[in-house]
Amino acid sequence: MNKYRGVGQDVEKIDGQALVTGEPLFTDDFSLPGMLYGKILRSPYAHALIKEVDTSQAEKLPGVKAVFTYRNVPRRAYTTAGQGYPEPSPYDTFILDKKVRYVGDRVVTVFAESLSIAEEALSLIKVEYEELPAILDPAEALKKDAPVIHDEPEIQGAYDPKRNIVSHVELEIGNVEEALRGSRFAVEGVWETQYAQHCPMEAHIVISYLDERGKLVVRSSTQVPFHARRILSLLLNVPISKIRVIKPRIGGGFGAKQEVLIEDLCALATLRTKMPARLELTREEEFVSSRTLHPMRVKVRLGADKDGMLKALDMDILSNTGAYGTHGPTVFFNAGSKTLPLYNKAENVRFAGNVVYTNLPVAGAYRGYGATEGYFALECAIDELARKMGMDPLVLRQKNHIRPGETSPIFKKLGEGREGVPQVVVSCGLEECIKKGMTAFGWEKKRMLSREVAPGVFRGYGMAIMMQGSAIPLVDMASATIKMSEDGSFLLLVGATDLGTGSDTILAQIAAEQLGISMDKITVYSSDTDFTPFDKGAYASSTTYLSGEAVRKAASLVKEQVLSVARLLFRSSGEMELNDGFVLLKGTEKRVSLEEIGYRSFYMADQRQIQATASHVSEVSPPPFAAHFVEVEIDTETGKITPLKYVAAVDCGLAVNPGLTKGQIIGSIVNGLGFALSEELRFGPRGNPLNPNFLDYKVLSTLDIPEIEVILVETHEPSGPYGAKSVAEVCINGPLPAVANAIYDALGIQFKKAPFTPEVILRVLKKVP
Amino acid sequence: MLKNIVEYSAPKDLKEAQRLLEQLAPRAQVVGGGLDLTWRERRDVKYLIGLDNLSLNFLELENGALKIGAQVTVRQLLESEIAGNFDSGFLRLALKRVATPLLRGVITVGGALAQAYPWGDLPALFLGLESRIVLFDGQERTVELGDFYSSSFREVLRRTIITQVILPLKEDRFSSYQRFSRVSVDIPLLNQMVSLKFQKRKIKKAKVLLGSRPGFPQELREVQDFLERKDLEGKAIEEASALAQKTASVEGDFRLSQEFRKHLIGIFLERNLKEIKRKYEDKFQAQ
Amino acid sequence: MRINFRLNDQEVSWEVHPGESLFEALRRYGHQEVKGNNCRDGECGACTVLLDDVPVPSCTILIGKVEGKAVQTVKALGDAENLHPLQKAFLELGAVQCGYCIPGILLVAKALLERHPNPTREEIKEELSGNLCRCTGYVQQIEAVERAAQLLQEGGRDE
Repeated sequence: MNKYRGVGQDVEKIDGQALVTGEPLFTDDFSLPGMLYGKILRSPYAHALIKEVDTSQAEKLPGVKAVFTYRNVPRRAYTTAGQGYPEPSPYDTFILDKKVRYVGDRVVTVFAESLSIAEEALSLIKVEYEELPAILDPAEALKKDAPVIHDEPEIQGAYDPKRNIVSHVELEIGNVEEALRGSRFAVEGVWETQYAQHCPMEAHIVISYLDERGKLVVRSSTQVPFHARRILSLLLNVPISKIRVIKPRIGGGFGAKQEVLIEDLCALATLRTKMPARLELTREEEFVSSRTLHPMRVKVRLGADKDGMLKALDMDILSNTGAYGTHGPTVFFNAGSKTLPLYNKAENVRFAGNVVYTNLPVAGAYRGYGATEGYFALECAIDELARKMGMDPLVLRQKNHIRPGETSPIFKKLGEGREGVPQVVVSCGLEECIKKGMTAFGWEKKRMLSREVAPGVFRGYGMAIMMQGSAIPLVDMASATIKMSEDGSFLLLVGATDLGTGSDTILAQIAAEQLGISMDKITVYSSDTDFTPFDKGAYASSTTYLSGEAVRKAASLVKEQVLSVARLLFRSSGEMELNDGFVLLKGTEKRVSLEEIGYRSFYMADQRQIQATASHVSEVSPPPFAAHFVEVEIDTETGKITPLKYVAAVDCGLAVNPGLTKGQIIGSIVNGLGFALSEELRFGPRGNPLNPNFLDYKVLSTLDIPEIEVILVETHEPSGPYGAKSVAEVCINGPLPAVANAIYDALGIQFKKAPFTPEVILRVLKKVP
Repeated sequence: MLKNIVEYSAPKDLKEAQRLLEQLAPRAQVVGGGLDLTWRERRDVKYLIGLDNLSLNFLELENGALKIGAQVTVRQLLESEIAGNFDSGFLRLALKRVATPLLRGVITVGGALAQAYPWGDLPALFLGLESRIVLFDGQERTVELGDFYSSSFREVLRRTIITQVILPLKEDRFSSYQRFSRVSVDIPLLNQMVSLKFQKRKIKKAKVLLGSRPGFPQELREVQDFLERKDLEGKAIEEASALAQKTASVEGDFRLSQEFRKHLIGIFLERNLKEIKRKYEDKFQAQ
Repeated sequence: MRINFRLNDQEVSWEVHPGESLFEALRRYGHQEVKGNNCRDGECGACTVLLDDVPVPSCTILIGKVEGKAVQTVKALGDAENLHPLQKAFLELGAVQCGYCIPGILLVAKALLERHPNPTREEIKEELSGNLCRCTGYVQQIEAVERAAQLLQEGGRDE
């Protein structure tokens, strides 16, 4: 039952038509005369000093316009992390350095008149390296005589770089050891996740140029245009007022583009040569030299009393952040802050661990932001506990999960790299998610079936529950400007970043709802640091919840301005309503069109521009919740695991656009299934990547997906626009534990390491040595 | 872009094409689908000789054999009705798993057999079906695919053009193909092609090829010998599988371990033989 | 060298490098509707075009192979004034998120529906399995192809 006109409807994406007709909307669909092409020379070593670099031959090559080495670029420690200032990530990166820290690290960059010339120039560069011992496993990083990966004096913000530690935390509520000792049932285990990559179909790409005023314009496939502007200003020593960052349509990001990854080199080329410049990563570079998921080892200990009430919850993490610490501390914190509160009945909670450097690709922000790794461990441990108790794993969860009106001390204790913010969960449809999900899935019936369906072929059923957050409380800010044109149409200017998520559309829906107009009366401009007001960017599941509320606020201010003109025209202060481009005086036949108000306001009387800007910061981060159920079939002769059916019941408050919401949910589920079944970036003994391409890094296709059913459970989140929360990330947390639990259900084997490949299944079944 | 290419010619005459190839060897390469050139970024090649104007995309049934022009793509073969009926639909099922639907429209039969990638599907399949290959090096000659592969075929192909592949049709032949991959759309990490010709209920001739091992297909001769003159009753399948496991030679690579490949050999043979048995019984049940 | 072929129903004559791929030539000649990263292995399908009505990854096609043939990009499907039922269905069913994979997928679907106007869900999944999409998880895209098949059966382009 939808009481809104626009919000809650399956409105077609406003950029949809342009996308299906192939309009030139993406960064690369735009070029300028004289544009230079950049190529980066990459390190073949995991850890080495650059002893000598000779670029003389490259510089002489006709068509080469700029060659950058550590010697001729600004040296300033920074973080590439697209986060609010001051960033909770270490400043441990340089544009180009005298040291390389992973296979694929930057060594030299060339800009030339064509890609061919740039590639040829790279082949003319001679580099002499002094190889250093490399750390290829996070446990090695902590050892006493481990090589120091970040020994530069300029490093700031890392916990103990001499011991390769980026972040270290140990916090406790109550007394976990005592509680575990006193628990009737306890389980303990270590779960491990792999290196995985976002694989956005569009790789990182940026084009920069000087506009007619000499202002540096950076057109980038980025999730964080405002952070990019600030960080570029710092790095290149150019005032913010002289930089403009524009985000056109992006071909996917998923967190990989929550970075200022390659804008620095491109901008530098433009500043030095005064020419437009373009830099794009190859698919191989996207795999190895952009960003990845954080591989983590998560140890979970749980203790419960005889009735199954959790008494102790302990999570200890070793997180591998790769060669640079971007997002290292915050992803780590999130692994606890988005998981532990789910089981708030446990009064004794401990969260601890280390984030360490290794000489491997750089882990960064990835949809889920640490919660994915945390839930793999936690939700598998819960199942293990249920088994120990002889209890249905669904029932154990029902006893212990957070309910509306409840809180958890973790909200305050664990924030994004620092202390968090206390909150009470107001909207929580998890109970209903579990009920509806289990019914749609047939949980009880299925679990009574025999698991062996044919000789050697087994079926299993698993579940997981999860939550995430909506924006970062008290840190994230979003804003929106709405201005009216004389014909009763509006321009909505938002800093918010649409990565394909459809945020432009849903923000327009929210504005349209407030203003009582149809979608075709709104034009959205987004993510231009000169023309749109600030938005922190697309991450932490913020856009619907935070940017949406800023839009609603701005629209309601504009509405008030419109109504004040209407009052003059009606000569009445009676109750009014905005509907379909008109202001209606309630209880009468009187109405005036927005067009009339528009013309009057521009040209005729009490002239003014009807417009408002509003910002929003949230004091809370209301979690979306979900319950997932999966049925898998395993061929124990070949080890093949086939997911047959997947049910996801999701509470995201009000779904502003149900069709787009479902798309987000399904997309994140399929990505999560990839983590569970096939995705892994693998390395050789020298830290060299073995499969940086789609031939050998297997992303699921249409033939690999199960039947997927999405159930939207609507709740009302009062702090969100029209009761909405965000939903972008939460469902990626389900597949790893749900599938692992299903495999246990089928075969009695507990998978503690992702991905769950046939090879590992057969090894565990002892069919393969 | 392949910067080193200086010329792409597309001769209309086979003799002319071969002459060019021979003249410009070793810096010349014929273009079947061209995937080997683009994907592997062959920098050693300067001259490209397109085969699209040589009318090599025919597909005909003649004299009890399917004649496939070298430029026929895997997709064309897959979608053709002739191929669809080949060996009661076996060929279609097997070809459906090759590469991706898009690459099937690029990969040519001639090209796939010429390149014979260690992880290919086609070499094992076509060897199992006792294919013959027609070559042109100024003169035309037809050889058994098996013999071709036993020679230094890559050297030969520097000056020779594959024009046609011939698949003999056999009434009494039943085939089955198994392949292991990581996800549904993937190269095979091990494949096995079994083709049996029956006389009455007994196996007259057996072809068992193990490919993507990760190397070139191996003919499992001991298993073939074992199967000949037997039927598929009793313990025959079990024994054949054990023999295959013992005599097949596989390696490990970063994609799949040797132990796992070894484990699959017996399972594949069991599945292949059971499938063939089912097909055989279906056919003769109907009679 | 010079290459002559049909592009979206128009005769064109382009000056190209003999080692160029079709993808590179298309982008160079202003056809931004063909998306892709020029990875040259054809594994993701984003750069798909129709070559004589067959969907192929344009990054794997050497330009010389295109001589005398017909190439279609997503522009051949429809435009804002006149959307193809496939385009309409994809929009209607929420099958478009970032849109980067879409031109390729629309062309694969077009070719499929021309050969099999009434495909089963399995057939659709098979045919689309060479096109990766990281945003949607495929479900809505498969449904959109089914819907488009329905629209085409009901009577063509204009609703």
